[in-house]
Amino acid sequence: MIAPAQLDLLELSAMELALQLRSGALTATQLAQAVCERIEVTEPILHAFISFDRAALLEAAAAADRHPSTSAPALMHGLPVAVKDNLDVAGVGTTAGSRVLGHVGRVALEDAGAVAKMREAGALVVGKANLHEFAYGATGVNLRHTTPANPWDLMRIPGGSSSGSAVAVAARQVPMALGTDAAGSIRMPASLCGIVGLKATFGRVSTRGVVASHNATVDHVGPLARSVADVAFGLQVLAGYDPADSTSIDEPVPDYITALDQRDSLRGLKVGVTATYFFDAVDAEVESGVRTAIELLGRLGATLVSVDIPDLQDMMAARLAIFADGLAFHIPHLRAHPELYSREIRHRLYVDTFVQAHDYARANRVRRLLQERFARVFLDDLGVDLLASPTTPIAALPPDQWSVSFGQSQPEPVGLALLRLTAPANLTGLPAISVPAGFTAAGLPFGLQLIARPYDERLLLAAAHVYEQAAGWYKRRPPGVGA
Amino acid sequence: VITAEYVQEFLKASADLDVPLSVAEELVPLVRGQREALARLDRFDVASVRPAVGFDPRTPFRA
Repeated sequence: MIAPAQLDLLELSAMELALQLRSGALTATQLAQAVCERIEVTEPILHAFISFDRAALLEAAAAADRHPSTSAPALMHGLPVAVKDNLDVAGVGTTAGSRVLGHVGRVALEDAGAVAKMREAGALVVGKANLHEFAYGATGVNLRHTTPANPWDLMRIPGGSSSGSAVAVAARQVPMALGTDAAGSIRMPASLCGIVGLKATFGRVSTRGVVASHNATVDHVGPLARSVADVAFGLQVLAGYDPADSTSIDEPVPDYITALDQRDSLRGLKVGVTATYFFDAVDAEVESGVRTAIELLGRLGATLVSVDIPDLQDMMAARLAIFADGLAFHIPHLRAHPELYSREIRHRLYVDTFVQAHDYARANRVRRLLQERFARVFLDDLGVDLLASPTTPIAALPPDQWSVSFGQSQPEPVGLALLRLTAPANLTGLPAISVPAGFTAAGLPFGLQLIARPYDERLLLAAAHVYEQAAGWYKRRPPGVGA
Repeated sequence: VITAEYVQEFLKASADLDVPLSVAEELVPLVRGQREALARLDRFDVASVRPAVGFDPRTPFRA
């Protein structure tokens, strides 16, 4: 079993660990050994990783210890980070949680843009985190590898698609992980695993090296960690222009970490709460908990404003057509080896094939209308600074539950319900964060989602930090793996 | 009318994908659901709307 002292070490935040590593109070090898032992003890239960190479991690840690920076140590010097396995890591196979890429033996020639940023800052790649097959699903159920277990209840789904990333962070295997988010895939598992997930503004973080993206104009890369401060730390390293990424935007990178110190209340902020859509079909416990969280935003000084984004329900159908873009990757594989896909993903891709050119064109125009309607809420007379909503309408469910009902409504597939509230920030490209907002009576976490104006991550993080510190939910530890 | 035969023929004709009729039958309700969902976009007048391609989230925030 893992020594108590090492588990205590893994209770430290990413920022605290990084500080100790930079000061020399902790060596990269000591931390890497604690991570390895934690993973080896918990992984047979959790299945958070698709690949993990103990020897490679310890070698990288030893190299970091042998060659400390000549000047100031890099920001993440020696910090272990898990990488979702749809992001390229040079020299390592990228499976995207599928058997398809394993079959063709694809090995990455270079790091994904975000991975390169992390490594330039001194971070060590621990391994490739599990995910929903091809990141094409919100539950995290992976029938081609294994499904990661939710640390809060091992018999429940972790949410997806960045399932392994969220589980590894929640279960203290690693202090930080990278995920991708095309419809909520960072924020949804963060919500269901009781951690923080950040999707910055579209273009803020390089998406070069994301394999088999559904559509490059909705996909994002971002950090998952146990606190808002740690995702701010992650964004500080990840943000920046990548000229090799056509979707990257050349915008100055502000200081996200100091933004957290600039507010101790939410005074002067207007927080918008939609009367429809975001609360239309939400589990009663989750709704009650998130409304309580929003009330706390008000007590912390924010002015709560009721807002309306008309036609949102219908407009979100555009996502179905926009995701068909991914067929450009999949069709050759589907023709050659359909058996390598799970039935779920194979069927989904077959159905995507029925999206026609006029559907795709119309969807891209409706998406512009949607973008403008969100902008109006932030710009017009209401002029809100943030939108607040549940991140997911439900907490974690058992993996064999495929549909969910809310009140008198028709049953809704779990996968569609999970992403319903996060996907708007992907179609609009707006920055969004999920912060733990409470627990159900069964002890399952759920998140509060905050959405901000483009490139207003400093405000988003500062407000989320104020809420997080006041609410205190982030301090809870999952019982499932003896943490 | 979306039938299993139509689904099978469409996948073959449009993408050279071979699926057995039994699979096509499973896809019928899913394809119908997709068509119904996409039909919800028809109510929006987008004739003069510029598409969100070459997408920049700052665009509507500029004066």
